[in-house]
Amino acid sequence: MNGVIFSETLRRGWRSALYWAIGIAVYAVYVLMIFGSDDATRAQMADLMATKLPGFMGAMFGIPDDVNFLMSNEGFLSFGYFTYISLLLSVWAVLAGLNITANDEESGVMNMLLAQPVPRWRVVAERLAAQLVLLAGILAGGVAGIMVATQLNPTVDIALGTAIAGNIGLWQVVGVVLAATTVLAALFKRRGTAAAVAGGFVAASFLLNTLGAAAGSSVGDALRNVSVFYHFDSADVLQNGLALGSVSVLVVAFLALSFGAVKLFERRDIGG
Amino acid sequence: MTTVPIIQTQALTKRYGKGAPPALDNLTLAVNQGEIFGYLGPNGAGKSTTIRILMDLIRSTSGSATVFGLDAQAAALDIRQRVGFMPGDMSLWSGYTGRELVSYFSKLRGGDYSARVRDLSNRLDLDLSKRVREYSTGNKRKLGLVLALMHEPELLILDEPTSGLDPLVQQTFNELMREQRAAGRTVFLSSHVLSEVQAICDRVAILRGGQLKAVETVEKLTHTDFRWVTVTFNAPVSPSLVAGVSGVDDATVNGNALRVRLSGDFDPLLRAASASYIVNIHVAEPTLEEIFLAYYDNSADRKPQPALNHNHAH
Ligand SMILES: Nc1ncnc2c1ncn2[C@@H]1O[C@H](COP(=O)(O)OP(=O)(O)O)[C@@H](O)[C@H]1O
Ligand SMILES: [Mg+2]
Repeated sequence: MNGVIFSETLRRGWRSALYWAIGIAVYAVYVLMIFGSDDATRAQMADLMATKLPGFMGAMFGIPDDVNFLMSNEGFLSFGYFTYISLLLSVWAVLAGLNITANDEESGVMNMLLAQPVPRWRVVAERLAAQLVLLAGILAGGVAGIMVATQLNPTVDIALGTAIAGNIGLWQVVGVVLAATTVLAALFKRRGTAAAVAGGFVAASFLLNTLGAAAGSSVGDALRNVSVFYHFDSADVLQNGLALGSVSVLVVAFLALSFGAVKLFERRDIGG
Repeated sequence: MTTVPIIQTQALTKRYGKGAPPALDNLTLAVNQGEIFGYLGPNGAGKSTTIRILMDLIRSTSGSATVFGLDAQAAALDIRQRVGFMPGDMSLWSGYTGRELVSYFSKLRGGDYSARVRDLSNRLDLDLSKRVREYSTGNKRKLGLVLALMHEPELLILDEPTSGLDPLVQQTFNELMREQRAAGRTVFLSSHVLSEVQAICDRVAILRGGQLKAVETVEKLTHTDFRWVTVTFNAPVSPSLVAGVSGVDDATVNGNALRVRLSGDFDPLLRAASASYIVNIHVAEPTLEEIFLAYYDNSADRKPQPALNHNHAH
């Protein structure tokens, strides 16, 4: 029956997603609470981060070198929240991606699931869709955290629309990591291999983006294009809203990877 | 009765990887409606490989496989709707209760089988409120049987369903399979021990090294049936003790123990042996290979061979 795997995945996953949502909300509140309440403190913090750290390290941690931007609400949110959460949720995405096929294949449960009248593509597609919904729920926790912080810390001023736009961008990036892990699991069959390569992909993406930025050369820029994180410039999204170009790249990447995962999984032998 | 075999394979071959030796080698086999068909072979013979091709979990290298006359790969969805399957390893999500699994798989099948599930779990004495991680291996197999049988499929494909079942459950299992047959449905089950399935099978196929060695009715195979009997005495004996005893062949002595190949009844052997004081009697079922050799080549080497499968009874 259509949609059964989707709803079952939600049913089994909502509790864990709720914990992630709470954790991220708490982190958002915490980060925005330490944001300086007056310009002097902000400038001090921004200066410290922008100038006292070597450029390379600053870039590593996604800290823009524009002190004025760092002093702004959006700037602080960008490096203090989105950079870290995008890495953290990439870990979530790898774990969730392994849940699409790899875990069940490794344990042998896939044999039982595929003994039911369910096409293989549906297993991949419905589980992916359910994970995207769970991810949206997790990010809703982040939005809620940001909004709570604006109430608790009067100096923090972030519009709901801005918080949502930023999290939609994050949703896309993390979704691409999810789909990439799924395609790797479909490709390698073995869970350990898929997990290792997916982890490598996340780390390489992160480094390519930040080091590419630090290098500042045309080669660096070209390299950054390959990184998923490059296509989510949270600073830009928070200031100017979602950019159609980046949104399209990420949507296309997600669809292409998901389609690839389905095709690979349909064609090969099931392990176990 | 349809004339199309329920399961049909033609020159079915499977290699795991290019250049690998065939795990299944040119298998041509037909299973008819309404029979309980035993698919026998030692470990590694290719039984699971065949079954996994029929279920479209893996794809053949060459040859064809049909179920209900439908291509196993192209019509996989239709076939699964009409088949009950139990895999060899019987893994299930450890956090689910039996009932949750039944409910999930029922939804996937688009039906409500609760009455049948209640009946099956009662007969198998299975507590569906427990979580999979709390189930013993035997209970996991029972749950697998419930999941395979609940939708009353036209065909059951069971990979080693009897391994790890205790004798009482084995009785229930046999009953369930006979009911299946009585309803005109078909059972295809694998095993590496003939004695576990000979009570219910109509026909058996013997597979070895990926090759089909024999397809026979169970009567014919069990006709050539024999056992290895080891009688232990309280003192050394001579093989001459059982010389000329009806049904006894190949007597060998090892200290106090006399080992013979016995076909037919026990009585002549026991009468002859009771001339000395008997400490113990140990009966071993012949391996499939031995049965097969006995069936096809009566002059074959009957010396005790290292057993492929042990199945001891005291
Ligand atoms: N996934 C696999 N990859 C490589 N070889 C396999 C795989 N599965 C089974 N084999 C090999 O194929 C042969 C047949 O195995 P199998 O069908 O599981 O036998 P059986 O079920 O009769 O014990 C064995 O030699 C086994 O090692
Ligand atoms: Mg097997």
